[in-house]
Amino acid sequence: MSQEEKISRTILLIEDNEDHAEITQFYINEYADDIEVIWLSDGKIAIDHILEINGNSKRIYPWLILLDINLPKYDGHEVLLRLKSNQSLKEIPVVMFTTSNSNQDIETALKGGANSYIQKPIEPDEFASTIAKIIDYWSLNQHEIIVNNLNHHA
Amino acid sequence: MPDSKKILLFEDNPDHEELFTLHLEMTQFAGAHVRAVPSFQSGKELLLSDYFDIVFIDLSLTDSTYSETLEQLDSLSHSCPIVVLTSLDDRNAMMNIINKGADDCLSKSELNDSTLERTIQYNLSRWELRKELSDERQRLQEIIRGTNVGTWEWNIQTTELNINQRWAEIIGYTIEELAPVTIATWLKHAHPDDLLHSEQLLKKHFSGELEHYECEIRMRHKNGQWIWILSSGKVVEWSIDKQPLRASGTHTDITERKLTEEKLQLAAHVFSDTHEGIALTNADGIIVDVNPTFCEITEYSRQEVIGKNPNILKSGKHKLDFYTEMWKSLMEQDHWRGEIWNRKKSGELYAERLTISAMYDEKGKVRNYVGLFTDITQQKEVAEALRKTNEALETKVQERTAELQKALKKAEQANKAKGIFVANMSHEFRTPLNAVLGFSQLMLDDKNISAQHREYLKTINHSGHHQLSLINDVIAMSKLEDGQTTLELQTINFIELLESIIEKATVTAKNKRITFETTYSSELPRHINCDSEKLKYLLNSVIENAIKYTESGGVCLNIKSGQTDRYHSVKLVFDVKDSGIGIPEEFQQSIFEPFFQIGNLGDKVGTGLGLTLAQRFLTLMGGEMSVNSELGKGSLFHIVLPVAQAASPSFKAAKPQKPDSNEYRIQAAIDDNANQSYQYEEDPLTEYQQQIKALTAKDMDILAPEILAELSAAASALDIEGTMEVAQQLKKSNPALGDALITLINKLDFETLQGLINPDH
Repeated sequence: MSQEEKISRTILLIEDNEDHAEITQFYINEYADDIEVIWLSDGKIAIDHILEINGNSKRIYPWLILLDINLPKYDGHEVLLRLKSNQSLKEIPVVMFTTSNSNQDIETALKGGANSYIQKPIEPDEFASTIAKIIDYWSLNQHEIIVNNLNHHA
Repeated sequence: MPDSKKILLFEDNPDHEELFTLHLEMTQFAGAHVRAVPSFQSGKELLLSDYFDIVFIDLSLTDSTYSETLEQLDSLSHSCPIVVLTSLDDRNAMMNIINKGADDCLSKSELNDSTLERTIQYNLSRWELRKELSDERQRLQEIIRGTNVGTWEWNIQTTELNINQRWAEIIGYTIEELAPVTIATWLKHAHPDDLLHSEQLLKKHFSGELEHYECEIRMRHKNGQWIWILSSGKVVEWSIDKQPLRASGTHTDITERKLTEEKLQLAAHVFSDTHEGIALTNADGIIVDVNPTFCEITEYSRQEVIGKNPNILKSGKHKLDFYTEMWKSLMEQDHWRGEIWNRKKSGELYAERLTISAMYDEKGKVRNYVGLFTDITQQKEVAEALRKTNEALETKVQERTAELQKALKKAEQANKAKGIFVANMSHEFRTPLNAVLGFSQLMLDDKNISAQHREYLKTINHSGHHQLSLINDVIAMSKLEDGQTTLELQTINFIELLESIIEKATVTAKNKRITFETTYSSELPRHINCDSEKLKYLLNSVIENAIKYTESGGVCLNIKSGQTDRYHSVKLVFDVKDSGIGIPEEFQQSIFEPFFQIGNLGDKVGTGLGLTLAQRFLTLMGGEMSVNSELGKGSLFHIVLPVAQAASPSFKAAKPQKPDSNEYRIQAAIDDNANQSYQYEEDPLTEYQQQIKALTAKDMDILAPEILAELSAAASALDIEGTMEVAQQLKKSNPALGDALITLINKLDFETLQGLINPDH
């Protein structure tokens, strides 16, 4: 394994609203203060960043992607589509985190492969327990799947 | 000069023979050829073999005495007159001879040329007359036979009636069957009503008023039917004092004629009295007759239309095609039926429903056309009025429909716009709220903040939460009204759900310093199939509502579950009882209406939608809620909710679920393993996973189709007994498969079972 390959204790926060980004960061730190939160302020920046850290020379998988829907450039649905249709990225858990509760958004997101859908605002403890479940699951099982996948594609 | 006659003479005395010849020579029959025989036998034979004009016979013969001959007279061929020559002058003896069959008698003592001549002359002419009469009778008999006429001869004095075979035949009998025939026979068979008429006619004939008797009379046939007879006759013999003695006549069967007559009468009656106009034309279409109704309707008199073409009635309202069609139908189908506008004599238009039929002669050629019609002008007018009304109505309906459709379209557009607005509003409201709630929460975590500011922040946070639930309720309401809300059924842990509700309620009640108690009237199912978010909202709303309106005492929640039926359904009953202010009776129905509040409740203002949403969710779930309340004493909310009981949760990953508006539902839509890792404490798969693993849809293929169908039906009805029965049956022939199915059923995993039965689903 010559490439740098790891699962980082990182959450990618894709969110255009600065206030929300700050609050979410606060919530994440409430849950665990050693998690690195990378804030990406629009859909395109987010995709570019993810592709960059998963380039030829390295594979860095975040624990989780928190994805807003109303975003400039690429909206949340498009970001989700790009992630889930990429063979090497599709296993990264994506949690929609948005103020929208329109049936259409929820359906589109869940059909598009979002692993969960959390509506803002949310109580800090509820938020914490939700992402805990996903991160627990991820660290227990998904790591192996991803590594297997990678070996397959390598 | 008469022809020379041939005379046969029976005479055994030659002297007498000579004397006879001598006398004969003196008469005009002098040239007659006389053949004389002495014996009866030889004369008798001669009479058979030869022709004679007259026979003279002396009764005393060589082979036969006087009396013997007399007795044998009958045996002689009676082809000519037979005259007995006798020596007796006695008148009685002579009468006796005549009675024995002789035509005449001549006394020998009186025999001379003149008596002989007279005797021959008389007998020859009488014989000729008799022959003529006999021929005449013969002919008459033949005529009678030929015309099939019954004859009768009535002796009025003796009442004796002489009839022929035909007379009897007409009424279905033979003469023998009717014997003895008297006038009573006639009276017995004639129709009593007609007899009266017959007797009147007879009387008139007897009195000379009528020359003939002729009467149509019914007689009872042997078969019980009445037949019509024409009885006619005449008195043929009168007494000196002009009393009828004998009458004779005929019977003719006129039943057929009578029936025809009746039919004709009926036809004539129909023709003249019917309410339909009738016109009869010949084959060329020229009117030959019309009935009174025709005249009444058309205003033409009979004389005016006879000989005319019916097109005098033409209205001009129909095109040529119409008449062409009419004639085509007449030619091809023998009739035409339809409605037609015609014109009366006065020029007035009228509508008729007309049927024209062609009538044919025996050769199949059209003989007549019959047109039958009724005036339907009034009907037409009514129909037209109706049609116009209908048209007007239809137009109105169409207009109204168009208006409605327009309105509907508008409403749909408005609805759509509203949907978009609501979705946006929800998002737009939440975005700043997220900041308010987030930052106030964030600041509350700051240890350096002052106590007063901490209170302010709490108020900000609390107000933000209140506003959030308000928004959530409004959105939920809006979604409900748009029909966007659906049930999200899944297997849930009912006990856990109850615990979270009770925990929350206990805290709220504690804050208000009132009690909150929970009692259970029966054992509750652990796992149920239910929309947990809606159930949670429902129970929370009702309990919060009870706490909100209770100042002292407390709120009690009682839960019980009914019997589980064979379809695995159970009724959950929640009673929420409070000792609050109560609801006035007139408002008890209104409390479920949106934004309903009783009086001024100051700080108790909620969203105003809690109970409304609770009730609507309950209805959606198939449950019912009622309220029982007494002002000042408290209220009881009674909730009945049928749910499907599940002994253990199903192992298939739960379907991704839409988060509900007011609860932050997190649906980890991840695969089975993930689900298993955090959703359930124990791992229920291990017990029978090995068995099921070995079981594939292909294994099910070996089952007979009817068993599969039975199993499928029972499985889709969640029928434990039914599926178990099939599985037990199956175990006998295929123990492995049977056991596997029984395990599945015991685990109540109908989903897997159905998947096996119907792999496409």
